[in-house]
Amino acid sequence: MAHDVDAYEAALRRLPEAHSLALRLRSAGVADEVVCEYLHIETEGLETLLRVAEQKLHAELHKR
Amino acid sequence: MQAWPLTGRVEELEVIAGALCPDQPHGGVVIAGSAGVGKTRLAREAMALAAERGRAVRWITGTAAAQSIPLGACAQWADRLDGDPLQLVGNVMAKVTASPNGAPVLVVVDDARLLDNLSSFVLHQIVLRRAATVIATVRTGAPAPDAVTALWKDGHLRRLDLQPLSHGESDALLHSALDGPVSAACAERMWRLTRGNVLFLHQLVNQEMQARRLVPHDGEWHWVGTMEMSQSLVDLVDLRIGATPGPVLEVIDLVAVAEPLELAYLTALADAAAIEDAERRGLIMVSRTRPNTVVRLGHPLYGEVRLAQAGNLRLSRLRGRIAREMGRPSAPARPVDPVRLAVLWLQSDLTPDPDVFTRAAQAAFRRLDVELAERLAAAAMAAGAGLDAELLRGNALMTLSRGAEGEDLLGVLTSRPLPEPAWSAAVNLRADNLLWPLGQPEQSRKVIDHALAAASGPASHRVLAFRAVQLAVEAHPAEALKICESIDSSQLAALPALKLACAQTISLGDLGHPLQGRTFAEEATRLAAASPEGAFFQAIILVVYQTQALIVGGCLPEAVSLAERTYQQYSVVPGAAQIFSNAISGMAALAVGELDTAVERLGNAVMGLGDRTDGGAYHFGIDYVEALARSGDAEAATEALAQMERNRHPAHVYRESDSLLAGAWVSAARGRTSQARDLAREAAEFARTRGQHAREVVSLQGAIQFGDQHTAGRLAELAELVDGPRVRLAARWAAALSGRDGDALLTVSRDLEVMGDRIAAADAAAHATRAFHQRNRRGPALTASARADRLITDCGATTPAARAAATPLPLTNREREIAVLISHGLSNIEIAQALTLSVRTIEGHIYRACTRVGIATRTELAGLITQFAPGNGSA
Repeated sequence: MAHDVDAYEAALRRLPEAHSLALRLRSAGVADEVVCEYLHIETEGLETLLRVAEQKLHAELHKR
Repeated sequence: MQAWPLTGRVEELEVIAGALCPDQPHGGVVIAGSAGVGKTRLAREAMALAAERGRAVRWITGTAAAQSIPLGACAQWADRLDGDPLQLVGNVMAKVTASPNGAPVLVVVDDARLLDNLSSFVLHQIVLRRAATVIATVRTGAPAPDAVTALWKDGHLRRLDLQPLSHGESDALLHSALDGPVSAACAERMWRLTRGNVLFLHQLVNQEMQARRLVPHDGEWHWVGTMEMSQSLVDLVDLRIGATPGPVLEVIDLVAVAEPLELAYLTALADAAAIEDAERRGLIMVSRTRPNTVVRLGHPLYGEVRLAQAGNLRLSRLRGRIAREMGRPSAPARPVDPVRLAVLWLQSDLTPDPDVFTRAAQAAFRRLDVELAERLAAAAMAAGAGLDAELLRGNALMTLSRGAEGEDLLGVLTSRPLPEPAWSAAVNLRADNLLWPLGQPEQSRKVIDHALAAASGPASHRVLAFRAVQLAVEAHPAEALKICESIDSSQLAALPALKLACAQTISLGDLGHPLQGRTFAEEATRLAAASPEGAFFQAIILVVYQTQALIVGGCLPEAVSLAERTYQQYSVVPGAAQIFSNAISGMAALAVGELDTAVERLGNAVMGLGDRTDGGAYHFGIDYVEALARSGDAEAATEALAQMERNRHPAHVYRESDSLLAGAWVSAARGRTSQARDLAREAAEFARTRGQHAREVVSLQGAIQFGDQHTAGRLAELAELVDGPRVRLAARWAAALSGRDGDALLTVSRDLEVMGDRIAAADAAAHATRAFHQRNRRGPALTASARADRLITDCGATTPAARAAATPLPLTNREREIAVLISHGLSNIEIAQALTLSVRTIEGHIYRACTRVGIATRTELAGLITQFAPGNGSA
């Protein structure tokens, strides 16, 4: 379990800063507007940014 | 500078690839990000992907050089650059989105924030109509035209915020670009400086390679020595470009001042080897498109850096070289855009040329860029241009609502002896400018009086066209029409013909003949489309009058159809056309009881015209007030009414009855029905004294809706004078109301609904409900009540008649009105003031009302009236 957590954290750290931050803020339950403010993006872009971030994270977690 | 491999963008490319699949919810993707993050590169990859999938691809670039030229970014797609702006835009759209064998098209718009307004409109239309999939790039934090911003704000394009690469991706890119491993120290220094910005990294590597500070050693790249380098990407780009050989720098600068620049001009002006060198270094890119192959800079930052650093003298000289080449009769690339030529000329070291500037001013006006047209006309005048430039500048100043400057120019112009038709054009423009932007109808009249005294032959017909306008807007429709009929319209060019059509439309509409004169109006509009004098705006104003005449006459399907057509054509055209199309659509929506749309569009128009002095905000403010009041928002309506009064414009006399009626609707929304009735009667009286028969009908219909039972006689008279369905229905309604004939009222309600006036239909049904109740016909009363409720709910309206019908209490109209005001929280003193009655009378009404319904206090009376109000299910 601890191993999984470490792998997840390591994968998050390998992401571009904005993607990593978006995922961390989202999982902390931060409101969309606040996430956008942190990332300096417009609210219309958040959904796609999170989707890209999740895909990048998935790719990192499954890298051999 | 060789292209580097695309790194770290797999997921982003997937998002874009998704947009290229059929049946997508979005029309494409907007790639947003900071300078140098890789937006253009990603867009190029998308273009290659689309081409692989069999799509036809188009590339459009927004540039600083073309931003001030209407349609500048799309010029390469325009066969011709003159004529009606909508036709011009339509042709460009058709060419951009056409493809061999009907293959789907991808349009890539790089740096969309730098598009000129008309090109933004083209882009917006392409997306809206789904004529092609669009991928646009925008730099974050930089302002973009509204039509571009709306693409993602309104959900037409998916927004992809492109982020800098991660540390790992940046390292991988370095490894790949240098074709070998990089030392950890080198990679770390590069990362600290560039933070995943690809362009920055690329520029840095190039610079350090050339300086031989990035060197291979023991199978790894190392960064050696100390580096003189700035911390900013812009400085680095500047250093890199500044270090290129002189001839190559000249190529970059030539492209920067006129991007996109036709290769034919560049070849004529620069050394061929230098052009090839610039392309090899990635500083310029050549696109082989028809009819001309064009050259762009390798990255938008190169242009920004050079325009900031090259020095004005150098840039002026280069613009002059291009303009001279472009202005030659045998210019190597065709067609030459007169606006582009003049904008280059204006900022060059060439001697100002009045003809070049005048032609450009006319073209800019036709492309709806009135500010630019005014600047170019002023430049033409400064260069010694003649009457054409002066008239155009006068027209532009008036259109921009810069009345005082317009009067300075036109006052001097009309004091000179001028040939025809320039003299009558100048006189009319001056009178027009005095009437609208300056709001001085008396002065305007004097100008025409004076001119008519001096005019003869065709000139007098041209000047009379404006006299007809003055009379029409002063609410003298019969006199105006008489003048219209005396004018030989074959003597009129587009602008005076449109003025005549406006006067005729207003007069015929007011007199009650909304369907007459349409052929001439259509002919004048056709003339305007091809007019060299920028009559386009006047053509839209004519549509305002046409729509209004149709509404007043009750020809509502025709009004809606005209308004809808206009809205579709102009609602995203930049500038005044957009505002007017909103207003026209809002007026039609109000007439058929689509109150949400009416409030939104009229509100937009009033806001858009707020800083102009030509009366537009007052004109459409009247309709806006009525829309708010009819929707029951008494507070907003009261505020808008006060604003309307502040915007009151002395030239809009012909709308005085509408203005009074709007006030009546506000009174009704505030529960003051008898005050509303008095105002509606006042409106009718005003219209009657001016012979505005059709507007008198509208005002009397308003009075009926507020419960006036004494309009039947006058409406029967008006039915003999006025055409259109409204007057006949209003006359039948008035007769049925005074006879308390429920069946006839119900029939009128049905016919009003067929006509399209759904709020009036609801009110007639509400009157029928009461009439049936009074005769104890409960079944028909229920039917009529349900009908009123359905219509009023559909429209989202609140009216006194509907309120009364929904309250089956045995109260008189006056008792009901007082009960409603008590429920609004007014004291007896306040009610007495509102209804101009004594407090004792109010108390008497309250006492009798309480006795009738068997309650004891005014509070109980207020509770009862609220309980039976429409919408609470008790009706």
